[in-house]
Amino acid sequence: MAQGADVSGLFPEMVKAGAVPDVVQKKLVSFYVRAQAPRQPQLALLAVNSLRKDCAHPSPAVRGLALRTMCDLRMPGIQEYLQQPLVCGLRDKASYVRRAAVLGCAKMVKLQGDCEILMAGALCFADGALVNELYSLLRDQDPIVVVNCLRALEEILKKEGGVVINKPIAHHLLNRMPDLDQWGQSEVLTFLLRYKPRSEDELFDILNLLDAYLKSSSPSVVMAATKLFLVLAREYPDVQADVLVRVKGPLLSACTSESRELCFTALCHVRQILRSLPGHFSSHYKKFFCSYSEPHYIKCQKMEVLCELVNDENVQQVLEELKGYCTDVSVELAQGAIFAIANIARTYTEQCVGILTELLGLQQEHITSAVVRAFRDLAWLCPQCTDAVCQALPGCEDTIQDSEGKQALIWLLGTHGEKIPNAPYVLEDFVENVKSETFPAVRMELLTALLRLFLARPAECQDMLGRLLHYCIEEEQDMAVRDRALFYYRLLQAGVEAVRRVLCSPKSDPSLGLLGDQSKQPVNAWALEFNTLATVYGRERWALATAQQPSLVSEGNKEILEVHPDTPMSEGNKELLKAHPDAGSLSLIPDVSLTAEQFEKTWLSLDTSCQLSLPWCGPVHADTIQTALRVVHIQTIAMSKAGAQPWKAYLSAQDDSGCLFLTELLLQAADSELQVSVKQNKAKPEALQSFISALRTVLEAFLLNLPIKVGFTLTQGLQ
Amino acid sequence: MRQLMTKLLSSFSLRLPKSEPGTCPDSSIMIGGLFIYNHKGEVLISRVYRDDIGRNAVDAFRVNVIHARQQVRSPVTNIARTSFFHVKRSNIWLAAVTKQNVNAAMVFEFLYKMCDVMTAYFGKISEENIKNNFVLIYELLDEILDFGYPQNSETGALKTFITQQGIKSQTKEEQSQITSQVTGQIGWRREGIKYRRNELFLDVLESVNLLMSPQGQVLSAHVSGRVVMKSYLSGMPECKFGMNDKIVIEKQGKGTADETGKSGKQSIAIDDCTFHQCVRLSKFDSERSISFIPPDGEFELMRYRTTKDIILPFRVIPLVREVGRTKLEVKVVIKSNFKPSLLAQKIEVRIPTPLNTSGVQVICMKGKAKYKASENAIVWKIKRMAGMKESQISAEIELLPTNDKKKWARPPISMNFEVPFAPSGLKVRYLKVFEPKLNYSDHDVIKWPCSASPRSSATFRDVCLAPRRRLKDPVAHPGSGLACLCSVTIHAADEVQNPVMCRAIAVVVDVAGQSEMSGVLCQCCSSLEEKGCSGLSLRLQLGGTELAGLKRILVIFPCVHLKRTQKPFPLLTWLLVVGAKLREAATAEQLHLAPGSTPLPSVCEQVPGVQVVVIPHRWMKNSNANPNLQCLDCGLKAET
Repeated sequence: MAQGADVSGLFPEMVKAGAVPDVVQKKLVSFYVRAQAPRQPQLALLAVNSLRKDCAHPSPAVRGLALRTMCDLRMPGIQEYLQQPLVCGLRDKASYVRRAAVLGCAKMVKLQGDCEILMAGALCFADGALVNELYSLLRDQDPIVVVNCLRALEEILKKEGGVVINKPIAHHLLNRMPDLDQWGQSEVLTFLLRYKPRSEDELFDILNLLDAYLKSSSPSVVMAATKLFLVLAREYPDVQADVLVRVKGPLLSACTSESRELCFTALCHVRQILRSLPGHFSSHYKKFFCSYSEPHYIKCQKMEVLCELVNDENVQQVLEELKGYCTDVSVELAQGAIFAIANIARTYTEQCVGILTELLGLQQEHITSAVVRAFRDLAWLCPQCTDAVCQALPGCEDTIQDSEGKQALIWLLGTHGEKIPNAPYVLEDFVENVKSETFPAVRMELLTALLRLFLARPAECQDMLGRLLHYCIEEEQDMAVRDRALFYYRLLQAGVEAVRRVLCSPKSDPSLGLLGDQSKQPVNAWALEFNTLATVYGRERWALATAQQPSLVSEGNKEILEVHPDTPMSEGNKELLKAHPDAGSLSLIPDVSLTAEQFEKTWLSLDTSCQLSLPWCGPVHADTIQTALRVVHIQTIAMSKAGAQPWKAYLSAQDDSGCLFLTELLLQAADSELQVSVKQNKAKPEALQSFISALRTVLEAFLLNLPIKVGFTLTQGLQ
Repeated sequence: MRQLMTKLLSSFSLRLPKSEPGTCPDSSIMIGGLFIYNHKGEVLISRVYRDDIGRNAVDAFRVNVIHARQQVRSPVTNIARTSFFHVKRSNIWLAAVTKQNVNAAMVFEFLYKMCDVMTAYFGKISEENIKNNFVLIYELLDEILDFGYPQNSETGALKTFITQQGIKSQTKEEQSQITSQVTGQIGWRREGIKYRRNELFLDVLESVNLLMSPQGQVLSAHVSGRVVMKSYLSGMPECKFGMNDKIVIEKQGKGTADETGKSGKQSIAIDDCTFHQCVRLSKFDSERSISFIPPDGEFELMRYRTTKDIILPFRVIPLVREVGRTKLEVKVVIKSNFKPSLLAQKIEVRIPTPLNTSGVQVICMKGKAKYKASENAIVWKIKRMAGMKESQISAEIELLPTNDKKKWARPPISMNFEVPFAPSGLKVRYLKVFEPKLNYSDHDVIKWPCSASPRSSATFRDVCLAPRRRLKDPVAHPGSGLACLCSVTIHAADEVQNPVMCRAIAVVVDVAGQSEMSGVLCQCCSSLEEKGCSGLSLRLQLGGTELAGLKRILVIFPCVHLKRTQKPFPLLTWLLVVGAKLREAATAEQLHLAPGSTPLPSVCEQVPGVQVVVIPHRWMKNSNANPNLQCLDCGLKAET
């Protein structure tokens, strides 16, 4: 089963096997039933019976297991059987059963949400009563039940914004904190973020109560507590600073702990703190030195931390240490260390350039390449080190093999060529080997660099510039490079002054480096993100990861489109669709599972909210319409055959608030008007408007296309 | 058509409901699924708790992480909006999957906890063990997580209702036990435990983490320690544990002035410590006393970390010398650095060897050493070693010539041992047990420290197999930004003007004042061969600012030996040496010395603080079959 094989054929036998007294066997059967129930909903009902019997078993272990299993069955219609055992479970005297029951409520409500239409009228287990029951269970004496209640309420009330933490609940939770295990503590601390203390006194009372958790044995509780403190004390910067000082110890020990992954997480948080309080960990810089056995990701994080906490006192030691990493066997790490040094070089230029220059002497390919790249950035950001860089450069050209490194070297030679005596000769080597040069980007860089150098030292460069231009214009395969060459050629025709105006841009931009350094974030900017994945991934990556949603949806739909590649649609329609006003706030949910019977029932029970008619001529192409509607998440429930008189189609769609749109399309005769009637199960006029405009857009698109289609169908008919 | 549809899409801006990052503080721990893979990426265990985690998540992790070519980028991976948290135990991957914005530390802690629970049930987490305990693991996963939320994960509590044999039927008594256990105020101990003999064992386990620079300076050292207890006590005992915590001692010392003087040295400053759930934190905060009701069986009472005044029980001085491309000479000296009356036990030194090792010859004075090809290491075991002793091993490693450009990463030497004291200086002052109802009989009362002596084992990590870089590397050139504070030059010449070969290995050790903290500052080894008669300069560089606290430098030249290519030279205890005054810029004084002369005393008088020691060869018969003499220290064979 772990391999994903379908073993649902054995269902009846398994259900029988579950009816024995042996608990372990029961557990295995329960596991099986849970995994297979969605595949065999009819047979799963068999299991329900014996499970209900188990719910009244004298042993709490069996009761809890049965309840949990029942709640995990993911199939429609189970709720009916669930309510009664759940209510009993919530009042069971064994806390083991109560725990299962509380989470069971959440599972049931979730299941209900998934097929809400099904239960639309028949919600026997009133939501309100359930929620109240759960709120009262927050006072349960078992700590896990309390935490489970919070979790369940959060899921059930998600649409209303989650569980409400008011003053009595908050204080109750605060009092129960010592009884909870680490998972519970961390969770409760997170829930307490919602609570806003009424007064300053209350705030500080809470902070005092929670103070011990800043030194908890579990790093995650420490972090959760830190976050709570930072968020609650958002108006008291001195309190925030104090909190960060207090968690320094626990964070440092997490950073040096043997559990790699925790260490990684802690390092991510340290970096986050350093962004606001540079120098916060400066006295402990030795803790962030890498040791041999650490995995690559920790070493990288540590190097970044080291970069951030450099100050006048420790810069010597930190650089010494980073220098050691530069000669590491791992190419990635070595280059990382070089870039880290380059980063520090923005502030401590002289020492760092010295070290980097020294590294060039090793004549290692990857090291030289990284160093030259670092030099390029430095020359751009810190003009004061240009001379030192220029002195170090000669001799590098033989070692560098990769594209990035070559580009950097050529840029330096071109831009600062007047300070490097042999610059033209190095470039000449490149020009001579330009035919065998594999990277177009390098050739492009070479063109620009040589032209720049030509401006500074015309006598030495004129000849080879001519050769290079000739090659690039006559023989070059890459269009971008050729275009650039042509452009330069014409520019040269316009005179040297013109070239100078175009090419002699500033050679450095020190303001860029300073901007990057001085942006000190206030603590409040990230307090809410602390202890979430946003910190671990980094804010940019996290934003990227969460923003992917719309593009994913469109990808999904592309696949649908590829299934119907012959769906006709002309260019003109696109323009029309494009011009159509944005349907803005409406968002329809894909994959609403609504059966024909449910549709009919709902259709009959509702009144028509809107009716309109569209001009229509010619026959209907059912498949095409269906596909097009599916793309905008409108499902076709039923449709007459093409050519039938009158032609009818029933459509359904649901938006994210659960509002259901049911639509009837009616075409009386072939060349008349298409009658559209829409029904809605909630009165939401704005959503209705958006829905109708969406529907119109799709339908009108077909309408305009018809003449071509008619011809097409006719020829088909003749054949 | 496709373009049209995309346009359509964009005009409707189809959005699924999503939580906005940053604004919504939802960082619960909700684990959508748990997978366990073997090293090949085959799924051993898969348990999905939430619908939003599909079957394809299993494959996504395998393809993107386990089978990825490059090394693991991060323990948290985001694949298609799903976050995968993984932990590796030997060659088993455990991955927790979630779509929520969760609390990363918590998920990792939970995975560790899960590993602990599994280890408590069936020992080491290995593929075989997992396959043999399928049922048990599924049972556990069902119990510790429900709907993706962590539930009870205390091994003690779990063991009462998940037994490996399975519970056939339960008596009434057992049932009520579960209920009381699970509902009771004290989650970690059940009531009604009875033992005939009440015993309590205590272990202090410390691990020393040492980071040394390639020059041999101690960059940072810290001890992370654990106090582990095994309790077999009846009833609900209340325990109190006291140690030589600086804060406590100072507090008590206020009353009696004498005690402060006595115990002042012995107390330790604990940087931070964390306790088992059972310890009353409020009492610790107010009174610094550790009182608790212990769980039954083995548990970890506390964890602590210290960074100050760490006693390093051993010093490891490694020397590596490359002889040509196919041979490597390694010599490791370990020195015990504690009272001679104490004994260290079960010492194991692990010396890594390059991957292309073809054969190893090992000679050691004490203990047994073996080359283990499968682990790429020489393992040297010594049963017992007294304090202030020294022991060494030398090995000749033959290498296969390879084309592999990749350099050997030179992993650190690691060392394991048990010493009868704690490197952090932690001492147990008392351990008291009170049981209000049962009143243990006299002979039952805890026999600490007589019954269980503290055991501490420590691991040196990152003692470098120095030099991490070869000295030939230009990085180590003088004037390269490294302050070259002291330089020692050896200059050898042979009166016969014949090519000579010198095997000299110089070790500069600093003995820094009272703390007796010493480390290898620098090693240097080279051969005179190339230079021939003109002599050889060995330049030792001592870099860094640490020299400021240096009191004395000891230069050791073990096995200085000159020989002509033709016939062996008699043992020469001549030498040369030394330039430079401390804390001054590099001045390489070269002394030209004739063999046989003994200039040492005079030189040493000139430069206070520098002491030169020459250790002669110690010839010994190699084996009975081979009557050739070989030097114990450097492994040089004497030619007959």
